[in-house]
Formats: sequence, C-alpha cells, structure tokens
Amino acid sequence: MILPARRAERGSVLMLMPVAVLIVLLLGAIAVDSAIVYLGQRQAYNVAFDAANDAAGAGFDPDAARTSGEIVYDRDRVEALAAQAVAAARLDDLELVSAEIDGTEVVVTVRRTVEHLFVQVLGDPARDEVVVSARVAGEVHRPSAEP
Amino acid sequence: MEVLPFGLLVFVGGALLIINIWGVVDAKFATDAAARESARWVVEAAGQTTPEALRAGATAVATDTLAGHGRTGPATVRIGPRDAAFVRCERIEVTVAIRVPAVRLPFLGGFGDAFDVQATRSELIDPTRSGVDGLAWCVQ
Repeated sequence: MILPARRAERGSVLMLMPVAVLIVLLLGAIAVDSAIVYLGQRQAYNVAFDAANDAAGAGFDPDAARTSGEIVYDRDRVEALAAQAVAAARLDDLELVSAEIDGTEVVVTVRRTVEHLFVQVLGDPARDEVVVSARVAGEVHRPSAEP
Repeated sequence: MEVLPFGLLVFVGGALLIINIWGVVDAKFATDAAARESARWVVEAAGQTTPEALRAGATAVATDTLAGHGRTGPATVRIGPRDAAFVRCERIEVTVAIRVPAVRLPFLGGFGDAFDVQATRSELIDPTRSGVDGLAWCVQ
C-alpha cells in the first residue's frame, strides 16, 4: 500500500519537534551563559581600570612632579592603591595579579573566575578564568601663564 | 499528537526561564554602567560638594544611565561611606540598585516578588585636582 507523501512524513516531523525546541532552548542558554561571562569580563576590566586610575592619580612622587615635571611612581604605593581599589570593588573571585609601572603608565592586571549558569545545571562545573589588564597614563599639567 | 502540547509546554517554560534570567543579566549590566557613571560624576563634581547636592547629582546621573538602558523604573542610589567627605584622597563608593520582577512576561509586565539587582563602584577623589578641600595625604 502506498501512502500519500505528506501523510507518510507526519510521524517523523512530530518526533523532530521536541528536538528542535530543545535545540532552540540550548542555544538560548548558551547565549545567556556567554553574556554572563562577558559581564564578568567587563566588570573585571572596569575594576582594573579604576585601580589603574587610582594608582596613577595618587601613586606618583609629588616632589619629582613639582621640580622636574616628570611622573615618577612609587612602586609600593601603586601596588597598595591598586589592591585597595580591587578590594573595594567587592566582586566575587576577583584578585589582583599585578600592578606594574611602565614608564609614565600604570598597568593593572586582575583575574576573575566566572561561573557559567546553565552549563553548571547540567552537571559540568564549567568556569572561565578571565585575566584582563588596564593601562592608565599619568601626565603633569601646569597651569598656563597669564598673558 | 500528545507530543505537541508537551513540546509547547517545554518551549514556553524554557523561553520564559531564559527571558527572566536574561532580564537579571541585563539589569546587572545596567546597574554596573549606572554605578560607574555615577561614581565618575561624584569624583569629578565641581562646586557640588554638599552631601545633598552630591546625592541628588549622582541619582540624576544614575537615572539617566538606566534610562539609556531602557530601565525607567525607580532606582536606589547610595553614596558611601556614610560619613564620606568630599575631600582629596577620599574613597567614594556608589551603589545603584533596581528592582527586577520575579517573572516578566512580554507585553504584560512583571509579576511576583521583585528582588534587588545592585552594583557598586568605588573611586578615589583625585588628590591633585583643584576646587576640593583637604590635604593630599595619599600622595605624601
């Protein structure tokens, strides 16, 4: 007996429906997980930038800046200010990797572990380690002389 | 045929779950940006050094930033520490919090007990900037 083509494929299409739905939901879950990782990365960068900004703004030697107009950083103070800024951020699993001086710039590197949401539900303790650096340059601005 | 209602149920339930979790992630993005903009405004504020003026200005900046992210609901803005003075080397913390409904349906709005999504940013008031009182003790 030969069935019409549409009627013969009816059962297999019904079986494909739940699979298609699950694939769509899985893709959505992957998108949300990626957004969570991106959020963690962005938060880590913002903290690194704030720490570098604080260290560049308050970690220099004021006497050298006044006398020679040059930016000379105090390594201990730069590290302390960066650590203070990272601690003040109160973000989970965020740690200061380094606060380095590169000429007139301060480079702060932080590390953060970001946990996935949906993948963890499936039993995989997936987590991404995010390492980001931010660089801030210090400058001496002297008020221009009155004409 | 019973697979159709089951598939529909899974699809609607799963889509709602993803939409609501995305709502929380999006709220976190928005509060993070608002706290950052607000903290920048506070440490760079010129001539607005009373606590009331700072709080009002920070709230306005946070509200504008949240509106830019499409969130026009009420927001809570806290400036800390409580006894913070607008002086050089003071570390200012700005916390922005918004309420996110437990369940949010497209076109129908939010339902259920809302919970807070908040973000905190902290910045140092520049020790060498002009127009601010206090000693630059952190660069000594």
